[in-house]
Amino acid sequence: MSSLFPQIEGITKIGVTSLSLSRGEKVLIDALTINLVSGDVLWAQGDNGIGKTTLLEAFAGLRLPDEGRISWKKNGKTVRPSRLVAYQPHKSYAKPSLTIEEDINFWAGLRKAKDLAEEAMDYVGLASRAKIATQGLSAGQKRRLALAKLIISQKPIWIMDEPAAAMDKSGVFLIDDLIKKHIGRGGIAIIASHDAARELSSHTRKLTLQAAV
Amino acid sequence: MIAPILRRDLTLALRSGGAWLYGVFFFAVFIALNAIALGGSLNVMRPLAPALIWLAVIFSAMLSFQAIFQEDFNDGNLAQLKLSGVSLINLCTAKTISFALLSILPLLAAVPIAALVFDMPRDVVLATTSSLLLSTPAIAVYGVLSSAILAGRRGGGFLIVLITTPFLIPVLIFGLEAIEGFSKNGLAAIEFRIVIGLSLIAIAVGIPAAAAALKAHLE
Amino acid sequence: MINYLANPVRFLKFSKIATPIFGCLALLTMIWGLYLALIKSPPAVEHGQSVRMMYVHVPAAWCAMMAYTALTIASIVSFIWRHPLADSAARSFAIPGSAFTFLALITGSLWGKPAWGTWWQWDGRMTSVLILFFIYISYLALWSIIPERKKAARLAAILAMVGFINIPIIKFSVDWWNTLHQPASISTPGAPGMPPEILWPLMMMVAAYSFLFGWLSLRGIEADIIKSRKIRSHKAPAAKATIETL
Repeated sequence: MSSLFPQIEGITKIGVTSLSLSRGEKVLIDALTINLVSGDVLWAQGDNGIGKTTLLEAFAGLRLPDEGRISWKKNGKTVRPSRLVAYQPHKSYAKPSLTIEEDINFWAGLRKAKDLAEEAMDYVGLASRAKIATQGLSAGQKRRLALAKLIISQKPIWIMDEPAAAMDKSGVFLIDDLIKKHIGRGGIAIIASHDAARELSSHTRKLTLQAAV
Repeated sequence: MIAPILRRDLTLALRSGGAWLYGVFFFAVFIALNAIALGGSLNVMRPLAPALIWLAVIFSAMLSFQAIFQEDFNDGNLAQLKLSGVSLINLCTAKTISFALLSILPLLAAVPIAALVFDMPRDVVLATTSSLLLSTPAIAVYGVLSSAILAGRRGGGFLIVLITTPFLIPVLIFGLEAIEGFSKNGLAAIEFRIVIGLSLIAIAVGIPAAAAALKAHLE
Repeated sequence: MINYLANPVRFLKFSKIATPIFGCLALLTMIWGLYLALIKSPPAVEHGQSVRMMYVHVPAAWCAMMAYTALTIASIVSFIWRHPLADSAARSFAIPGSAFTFLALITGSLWGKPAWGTWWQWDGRMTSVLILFFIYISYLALWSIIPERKKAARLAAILAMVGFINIPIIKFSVDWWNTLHQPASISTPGAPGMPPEILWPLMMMVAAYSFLFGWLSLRGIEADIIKSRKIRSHKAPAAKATIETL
């Protein structure tokens, strides 16, 4: 199993300075400052539509801040977010007509990690269904597939949008276990969730978004 | 980086239940409608045939433009491709090639059939096919560019036609002039060289512009 | 100068003075130009009175092109430096620009009726102006279809730049196509050989259209700045973020 989770070299950082985000004309988040380093876990919590996904997209470098800035650093050097971030969106991004194996091999190929694909499938418990088209998967299984793709990305920053939604008990346990392993090797995890925040590392924080009155 | 994306697009198209063939059906319908509207006389249609075939190809291509990035944008694949470190230039190149293969080349294969129903002379068929083939990169690139600009917009169908029309007019003009030039000078006609030039300009300008447009959606 | 004006507050100060000046100049040159063009200048030998259409048509076509050039420059600035004022400017140039293009088409058609005997000829110049009109329309449509302002500005800038590169190509192909298939277009007198009684009113009308373009664009930019400010001042964050350590 060790080859799936190699030690992450160096120190990874995300610095967020007076970040302001909006969707359409609506300002969702204003003046947020937070720093995350290797070994940190951040839970993002709040009601639907409050801006968790928007915030995660900004963390992933997929959305420009209205104001303020976000920097992604490797050993003190600023790098492009795509070098550090793996993002698991709320929706499955598996192509329905591809089999699990084809889908995961495609992404593994792009990330030059083809040798990990099979092991990752096995780890999330999908090895026996490798030849099934992804449209035949249940919502929970699709999330497992997304987790496998998160593992093969080999990126130090994991950003996960509701990873446990529609998951069974063993699935929730799998997620916690994965995050703990990832933190243990020097990764960062940012998780949006409706579940209670769990202490997955010695430095776990909870960011709560509440509707302003 | 281009090959895996291309391979995946082709696989998805082959498993789409023949959706990539709709363009060919549209081509056939367009030709048939024109023949009916023009009264069906071969003497009237024969001189118009190259222009009608060109229009059939352009309209058929325009109808497929919107779909180039639509699905990948909506299901989150575009964001994942960007995070996987795929350069957007490579992505746009792959999409241009897959569009040319899946949406334009099948139409070119249908040109000889259209030539039969219009009773076109053989060298005109050859000229029409060559001019279309040489213009394919330009048509595909402007399709990719407009689709990148309008990614994720519902109901951009009419707008995509409006956006691409000015860019495709020179291609249409020289594509048809090349057919006339062919009768005098064969493939050596200056118009063919201009068509190639237009395709090269389209690639040089359109691909980086499409990549920049995608970047604007993903930041 | 540009650096100085890049600040919206300073720009508003500047435009407060500049806008009325442009407006007055536009009005004065327009009155003077129209007097010269419609009353004082002689009817042409070959076209008769209809030549007077030239004084409203030619400047409109020139200004349409000038506006597109200004639009492209603003788009380049917007694309490279991501400056919101350049976005406002690009969009504000496009609206009068498209109006001038439309005016050039209408006056061209009105002029064409006596000259060609039809309302429309697929003449090289008219066809190019028509395609320019399509480019303007798609540019403005793009702005209106994308709600997020920053994204719309960036995508519109890309479209404007690619359009600008294509304009000479379109012109070249339309001219090629036109010389092969169509009769020669109506002659507009060339500037060097133009007698002063035609040149003067024409130049006056060009000045009038340019001031009008400047006035309309400045007003557009002003309105845009004020509008975006109003939105910003209304914006209170919808959520409050609290961070706690577990």
